Amino acid sequence: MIRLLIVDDIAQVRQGLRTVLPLAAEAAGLQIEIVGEAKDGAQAVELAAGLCPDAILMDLEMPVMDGCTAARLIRQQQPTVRLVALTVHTSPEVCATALAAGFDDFFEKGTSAHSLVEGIARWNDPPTPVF
Amino acid sequence: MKEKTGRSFSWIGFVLYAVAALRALTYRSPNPLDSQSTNPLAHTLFLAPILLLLLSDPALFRRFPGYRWVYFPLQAGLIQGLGLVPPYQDTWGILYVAVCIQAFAYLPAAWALGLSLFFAASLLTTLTLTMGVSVGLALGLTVVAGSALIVSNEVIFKQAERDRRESQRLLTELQKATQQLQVYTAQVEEISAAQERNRLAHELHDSVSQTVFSISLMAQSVRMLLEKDPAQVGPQLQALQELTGGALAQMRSLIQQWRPPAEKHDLQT
Repeated sequence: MIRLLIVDDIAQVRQGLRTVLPLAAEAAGLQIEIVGEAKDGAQAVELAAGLCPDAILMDLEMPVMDGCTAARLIRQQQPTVRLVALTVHTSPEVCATALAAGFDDFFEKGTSAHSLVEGIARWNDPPTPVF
Repeated sequence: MKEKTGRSFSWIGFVLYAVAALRALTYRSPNPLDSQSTNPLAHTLFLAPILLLLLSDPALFRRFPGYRWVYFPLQAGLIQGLGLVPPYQDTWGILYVAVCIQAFAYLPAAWALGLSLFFAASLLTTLTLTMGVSVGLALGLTVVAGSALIVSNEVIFKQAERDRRESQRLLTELQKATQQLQVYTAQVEEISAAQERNRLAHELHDSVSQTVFSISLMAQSVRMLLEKDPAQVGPQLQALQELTGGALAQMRSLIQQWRPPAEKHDLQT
């Protein structure tokens, strides 16, 4: 079971992710539970500290506090949480900035739900045996 | 426009000097018993420095502000001296014309007027003493009247020239300011257009693209629910329909903002 926190300033996006991600995870043989939703980076930091999710799917461009700033703060509090960026901006510079801020992965809005689930669940894969 | 010579008086001053100099050098006393019927040497001793001083305008006046307080007394003395050298010729007084014009150019108005009146009084007195009362007064008043006419004409003309140059300067400054204003206006329009483009880009990001992504997620949900739980498809399709309606409304609103005002009015009518 992957406990997921969704962070996006657009309510319809949060609604869509809340609906599709558990279905896509089930189709992939996984389980995702949406434990919370935040509408900006500041709320995301607060909820992450309280809920301690396994993964956070977060937009980059938000009011009050943007995704990169929130990612830095969350990473300080929870070094092992899986941080996945989801944004409309797909330039190499934005991607590099996000990864430098602490995100583990970066997806464009338009990516299929199946790919998002794979990206969220990637850290759950067991390490490949050396021998 | 700068004057060619920069002098305070025009060619009239030199014409009058030439007339006075010619008259002084060729004048013969009407008295046949007068031993000095002509006195060109004596007259030249006064005429030469008078001309040199006239030629010092404007170089020395502009370089040495105190020069005027030396020039005018000196020039007045030389011209007066010329009038007192026998045989007493009758045209030396017109040399005061150029000096009066210079006085109005380089002295305060009250001083210039005072100096002009002094020259007039000096001329009348000298002519009266040397040529008799009636002849001296008649000739002197004629010279004074003519000189006053020429001096006032020159002064007014110079003032008009200065005013014209000032107007031209102001016009040039105004044209530069207008050009600069046009440049600033174009820059402001460009900045405004860029700001409007940024605003619309943000609106597209914040509204339409997000809504389309949400529609995509909903559509994927519907596809998966068709296999897993068809009963849940209806509400999802309803939500999808509402989302697409919202996206269309947002697009219409943005397109309406992009339209030029004239086109908006045509559409409304």
